[in-house]
Amino acid sequence: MTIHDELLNLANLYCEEALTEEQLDRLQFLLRTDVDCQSLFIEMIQLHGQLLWSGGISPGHQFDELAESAVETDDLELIEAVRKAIPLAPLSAGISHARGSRRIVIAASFMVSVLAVILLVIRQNQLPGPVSVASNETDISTQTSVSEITTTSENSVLPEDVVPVPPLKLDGIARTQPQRPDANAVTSVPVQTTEQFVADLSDADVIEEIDRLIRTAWEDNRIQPAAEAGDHEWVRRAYLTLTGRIPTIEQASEYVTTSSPRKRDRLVDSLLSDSLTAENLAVNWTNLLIGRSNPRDVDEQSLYSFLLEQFTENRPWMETVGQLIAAEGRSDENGATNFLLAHLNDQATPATAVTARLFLGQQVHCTQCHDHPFAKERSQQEFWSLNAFFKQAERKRIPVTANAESGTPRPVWTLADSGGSGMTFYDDRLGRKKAVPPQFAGEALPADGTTSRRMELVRLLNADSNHQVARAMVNRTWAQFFGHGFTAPVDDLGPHNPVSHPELFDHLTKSFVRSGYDMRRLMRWMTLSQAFRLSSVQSEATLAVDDPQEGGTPLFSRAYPRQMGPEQVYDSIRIAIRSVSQQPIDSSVGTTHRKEWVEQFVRSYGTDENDEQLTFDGNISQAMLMMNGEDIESAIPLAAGEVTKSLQDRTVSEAPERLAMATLNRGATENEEKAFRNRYRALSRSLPAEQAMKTATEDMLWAYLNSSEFVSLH
Amino acid sequence: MVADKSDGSPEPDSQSGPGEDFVRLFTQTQRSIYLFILPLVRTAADAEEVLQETNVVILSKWKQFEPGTNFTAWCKAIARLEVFRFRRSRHHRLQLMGEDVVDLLARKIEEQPVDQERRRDALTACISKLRSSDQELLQRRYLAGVTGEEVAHQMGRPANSVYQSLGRVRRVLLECVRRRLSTGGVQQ
Repeated sequence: MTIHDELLNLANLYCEEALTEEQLDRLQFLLRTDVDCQSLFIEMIQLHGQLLWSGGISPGHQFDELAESAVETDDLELIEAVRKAIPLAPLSAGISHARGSRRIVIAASFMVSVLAVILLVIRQNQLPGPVSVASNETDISTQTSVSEITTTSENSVLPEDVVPVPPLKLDGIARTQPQRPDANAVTSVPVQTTEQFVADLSDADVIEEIDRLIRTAWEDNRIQPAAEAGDHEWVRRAYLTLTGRIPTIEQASEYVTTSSPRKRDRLVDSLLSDSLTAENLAVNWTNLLIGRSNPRDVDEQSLYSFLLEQFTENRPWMETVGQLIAAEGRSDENGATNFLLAHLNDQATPATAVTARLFLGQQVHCTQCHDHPFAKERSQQEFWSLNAFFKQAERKRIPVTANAESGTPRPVWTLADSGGSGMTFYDDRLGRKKAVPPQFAGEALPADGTTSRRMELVRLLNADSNHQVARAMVNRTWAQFFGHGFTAPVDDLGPHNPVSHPELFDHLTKSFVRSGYDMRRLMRWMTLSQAFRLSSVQSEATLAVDDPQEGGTPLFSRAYPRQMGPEQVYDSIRIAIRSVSQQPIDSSVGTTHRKEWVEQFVRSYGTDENDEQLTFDGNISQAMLMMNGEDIESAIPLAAGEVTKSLQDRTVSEAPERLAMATLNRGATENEEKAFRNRYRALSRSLPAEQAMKTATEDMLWAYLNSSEFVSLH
Repeated sequence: MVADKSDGSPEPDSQSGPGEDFVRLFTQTQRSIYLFILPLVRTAADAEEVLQETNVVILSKWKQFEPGTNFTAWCKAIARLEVFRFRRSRHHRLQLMGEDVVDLLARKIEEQPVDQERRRDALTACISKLRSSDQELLQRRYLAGVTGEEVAHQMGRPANSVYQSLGRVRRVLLECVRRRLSTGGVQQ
């Protein structure tokens, strides 16, 4: 967030008379130290003033009285003219929106045909019938047979009981220096020590075991899995899942046209180390940790940078969790501090609930006030003994020194342990005072001030024989890759909630721990598994048995289509347009603009978990309008022009092909081509050929972007 | 109803109050005086109060104004005094900004070119380009004359999210107005 963003936010609250005292201080600081901020502030407040004035709340009436009493002329015309001011009525919108709405209408009518076509395609694809399990098996071995397979015996499962835990050096991880996190200090943590475990854990074995367990469930339920996804479908899915955006035409066709039997492995490996994948993870986890709307005063950028670095360097997940929980220092210097800084309000109850949910996969926020109604193991006492670990954590605001020259000053907080001690008290349902010491997984700490409680929590998490941190992460990642986790919801694990594939869940958890919490390997196992390769096309028979959407147990016998998140939609629209026009659309707006755009869909609630809700419903035409950006408005005709130019002496049918590739990463269907030809013919009755072609192309592009196929991850 | 006794004689009778020219200037200047005051006080209600006080002074001192000099500047000078008087009066509802900040801002506004008319026109055009739900939000907030909090209540949305939406819309408008002003503004 730039200083100007910050100023505009404050100015906005100023307009709503909702500034806190702290914010007022900050505003004044900005105004004192930065001349540009002064102008910007005045500009914004005056805009607000224009609206107030024109809206007629303000001085209008009083002025009437005043003028009439003090002045004995009836110069009311003038007064009226001033009062009339801006017509705010939407009537005036009609004209300037006409263009946009025409497009929408056309797009909508196209959409109908595109949808019809999609349905048709799905029907047709069903005809060949599901591929048999046997043929899938042979497939797997050709896929993975090349270099990595050391053993292929299905019984060579990892030793079940002995799961070595990589030792965790606490001073190395958690307590990064309050100064710039020194890269060397941070990287010195567990990885080297885990090499020895990693050596005897082969990816091929893990993947094979995943496939075996998934197949077992199919057999148990007498279900035939869907056919393998085609190259187009798979490459789109791989890009979207890992990098959070669709591939460009070039990326997709590079994959599709390669004939190497190992191309899948190769693409996955290159995507796993791609910076986009790390960015995607960092964006997701920033959202999970502090929310998208981010109403509390934390340094989101700094948290994002911390996560980005962790994911880019593929640091062990346990280390990242440890750093987040035990962080100390300044919000701008140690990004990890911002997680707790965001949640220490209300006696750190949000910190407790969010830690439990994200890192342990447990929903405990209700147990703040009462025992869990179904889960016996989840008691109010447990909530407060977890809460007790955060008792020492203290948040302070650092008064920012008034030197505006040195970069952009941001508000800064510190997170430190106060040396607090003692039991944590709470009232039970009968109003009795209870007291608990910090306690996790059966181990209680002395309730004095001699230990750093957060550091102790990290130690206990790492020593936890149930590997809750690993389980929670495995489940969440699986859900992200396959559309459903092993439990629903993904972050509510416990005996009260049935697990769809208990053995598989254990297998993945233990492998993840053995790998040293290696995120890249976890993602590799999932992406290269058989289930990830299945088509999203469903047969009636499959649907009857495997329909988690309707509350059934997921069997992963096909890819479950689901809607992209808003960030994915945003990035994918840009990629699609770029593919079509063969040039990037203004990238300077980048992530700041995306963030702003996404924020429109977020509502935040001041609940006990600092909750928020995403109101994004995947309605693309709404989404595109909300981009508010003239960049999209103007990029689409440009892109259409580009297509027309490059097709000059080729056939009409190539335009839809190119557009379908750019947006849906597949070829155009016959019906789509026909729809396009009809549109073109209709237009060319009244327009010169080239113009007709361009307009038809533009309309077709809108139609594709508007299709539900475009916003789906399938 | 442009009736009139002062017709023909531009010099008003000193007994009967300011003449037509003065009133015309006065009414035309109201908006800019209001916009001058608003950034210097905390709330719209405060701005209205200061404007009223300012008007009382302007209308009572109309004789001191020398026709031909800058009327707006004269009014702003009065408004500025009224702002500082208001600060001392303790009528204000919210904690005020520091005197030094108000002084800085006031000076900055006085430097501003007098382009509020163009800005208003640009703003009108920009509003018409908003999508209709945003226009509706503006109407709820400004035309109905209620606070953002009340809007939130009416719409059954959390206040924060309404503030955010309003902030976004204002920001879009700000950028749109800037663009229009920098491109000469006439691109209807």
